[in-house]
Amino acid sequence: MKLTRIALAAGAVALLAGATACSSGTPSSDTTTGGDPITIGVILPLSGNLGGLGKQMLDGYQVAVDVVNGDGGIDGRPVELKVSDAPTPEDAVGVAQQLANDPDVQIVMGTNSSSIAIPASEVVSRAGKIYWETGAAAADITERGLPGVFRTSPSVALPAYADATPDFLNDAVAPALGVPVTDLRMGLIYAEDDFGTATAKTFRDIADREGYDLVVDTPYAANAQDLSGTIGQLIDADVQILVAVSNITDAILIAQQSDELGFSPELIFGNGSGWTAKDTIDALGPEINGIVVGDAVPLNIDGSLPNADVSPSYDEFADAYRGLTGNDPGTPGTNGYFGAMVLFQDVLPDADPADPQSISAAASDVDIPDGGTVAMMGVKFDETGQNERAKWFIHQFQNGKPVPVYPLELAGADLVLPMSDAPGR
Amino acid sequence: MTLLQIALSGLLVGGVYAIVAVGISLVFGVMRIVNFAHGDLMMWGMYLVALLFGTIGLYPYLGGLVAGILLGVVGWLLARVLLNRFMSADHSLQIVVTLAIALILQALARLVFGGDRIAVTIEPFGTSSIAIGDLRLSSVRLAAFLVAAATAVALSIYLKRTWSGRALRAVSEDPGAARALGISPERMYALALGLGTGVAGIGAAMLVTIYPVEPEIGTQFMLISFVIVVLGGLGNVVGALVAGLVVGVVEAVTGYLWGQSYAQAVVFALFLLVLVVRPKGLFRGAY
Repeated sequence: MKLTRIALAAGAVALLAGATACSSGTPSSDTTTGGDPITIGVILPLSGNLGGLGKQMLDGYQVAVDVVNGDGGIDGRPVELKVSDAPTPEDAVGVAQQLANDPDVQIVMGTNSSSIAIPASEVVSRAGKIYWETGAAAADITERGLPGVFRTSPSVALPAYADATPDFLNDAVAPALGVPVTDLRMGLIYAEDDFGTATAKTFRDIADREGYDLVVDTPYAANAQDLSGTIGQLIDADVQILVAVSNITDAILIAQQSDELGFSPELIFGNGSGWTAKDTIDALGPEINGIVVGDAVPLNIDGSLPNADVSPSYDEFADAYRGLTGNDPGTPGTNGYFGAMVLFQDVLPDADPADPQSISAAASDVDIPDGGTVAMMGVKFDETGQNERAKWFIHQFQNGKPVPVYPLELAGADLVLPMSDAPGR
Repeated sequence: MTLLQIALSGLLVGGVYAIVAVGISLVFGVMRIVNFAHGDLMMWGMYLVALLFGTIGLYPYLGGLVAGILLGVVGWLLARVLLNRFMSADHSLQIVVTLAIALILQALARLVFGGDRIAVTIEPFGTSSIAIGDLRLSSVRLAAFLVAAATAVALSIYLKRTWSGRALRAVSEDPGAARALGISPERMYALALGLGTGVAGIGAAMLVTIYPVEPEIGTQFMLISFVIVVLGGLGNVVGALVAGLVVGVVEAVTGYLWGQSYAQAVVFALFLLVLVVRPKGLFRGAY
């Protein structure tokens, strides 16, 4: 009897291990090309709170792999992805170590989450391999000066980010509301994680510099199930412009509980890909309309952006993405595709894929002008590995779609404020 | 905004917490097992309700009845096939078994549904509120609150007034004596787990109209639910309801007065305080 129990316990432990392991280390490739594959390690949160965003980024990677392999691969060699799920920073250390020890993997790509990117990049860099970030925004990812770390997407420390917010508020919001931005009461709420804290600090610095009337500045737990207290603070302070730095669940909660408690600011300005995620759009329905979102790529869903010269064009990418997923590409998918294509099209063909030093040198030589990618931004890595040509784009949801409203020269529609007047709301 | 409004909002959120905690408390009260799979069974119930709504348009609150019955059967089977074998085993082994079930349920959900969330927005509720003077009550949270209260009270009455309810309590207090009186503890354990998971199915319908369902959502509610179950008195279903409401109010008021990021710390401080002052929870004794 005792032996039976021990066996059952061992079985249970094995099941535990199996359940955990079944989502990690999955190779994925298009095998239509010949030659030995080039294996790219991928670390993404595919489960947990950030899983939806990570899955979208993986879809973007997969479209890039399909495009490159469909064109004959890199020097005749197909690209394959070795995908690992890392829902938490602790998981990130473990799977980064596994990939860093893998002799077939010289490049690790990911992660869309600053909390995961910071430990993962450290592990990969220390192993002498290349860490390629395509979405996470915290400044520390590149500012620690770790060798072999590159980021195609924007850092919140970039002037492009720091300037975009005040320029948007001054050039688009103030005219739409007919009052100077400094006369508006602003609230800043943010998820208490690496991305939220770093982005909030940047906005706080902007507010200090520009003289904004920041009447609420408060964090919330990233896993919060109730934000009524926070919404109450915003109502009491009569906040007119709410800046919210959020992931998916909290973005949904903020919008829903604002409605339920009667908080109706002139503008909700969401930061972070949680605000453009399909899950958020589905959950909020018409209530998404009017919300303005700042994010790392333009979402050219209405075909209004002039990027037809890029090959494959945004439209071709979007069609391929829809073919793979059935959905329009959101921020993580577009960011993932853009970052992966820079690696596949502009770095690896000029490098020895087995030699991290060679890959690093080729990356440092990349020089793509503005407008030269589907994400409209150029690519030039500075000495820290940050793409100094990364930009920040602002959209407003109108009729259920994110429409670019900033930079003004790329705007697909006029900003409509107060947000309660937005089309479709 | 008045403190009363925030406290009221917190009370309704507490109802949401309570509806998860009541089932856990019932199962612990009878089986003396902490069912770590409770949240993940509820997650499957949420997917079922969302799918019934999305495919055949079954209203979520009716879908909750279907989920309640199905999850009740699943719970009954789990006890008969698996958990009854561990009733006299060490608690650590029982924990590993229910944790294993939880992880398998999560992995299966990821396999079947991917990482995507499914949201259910119901008309005419949506994000609407009911206004009473200056106070606003979220429609979907009010519904969850009422269902949680009704469920806890109904379970309490059932346990005290019916033969099978009294049999459940007898097994809980002394399985050997109950068996001598002709009550099969194994059947009662299966009934308790079936009832607990059935309640999870009904709770799933309430939750899915508020929170989009994803494979990890059950886990997100489990930690706070354990706090509530202990606060309310292990095994006391009405205690779980009251403790859930207390936690909801404390969280919301703390968030309003000092900031939401302090809310969980204050809830856990309250938890420790109650453990010191009243180690058996706010309500002594089961049920």
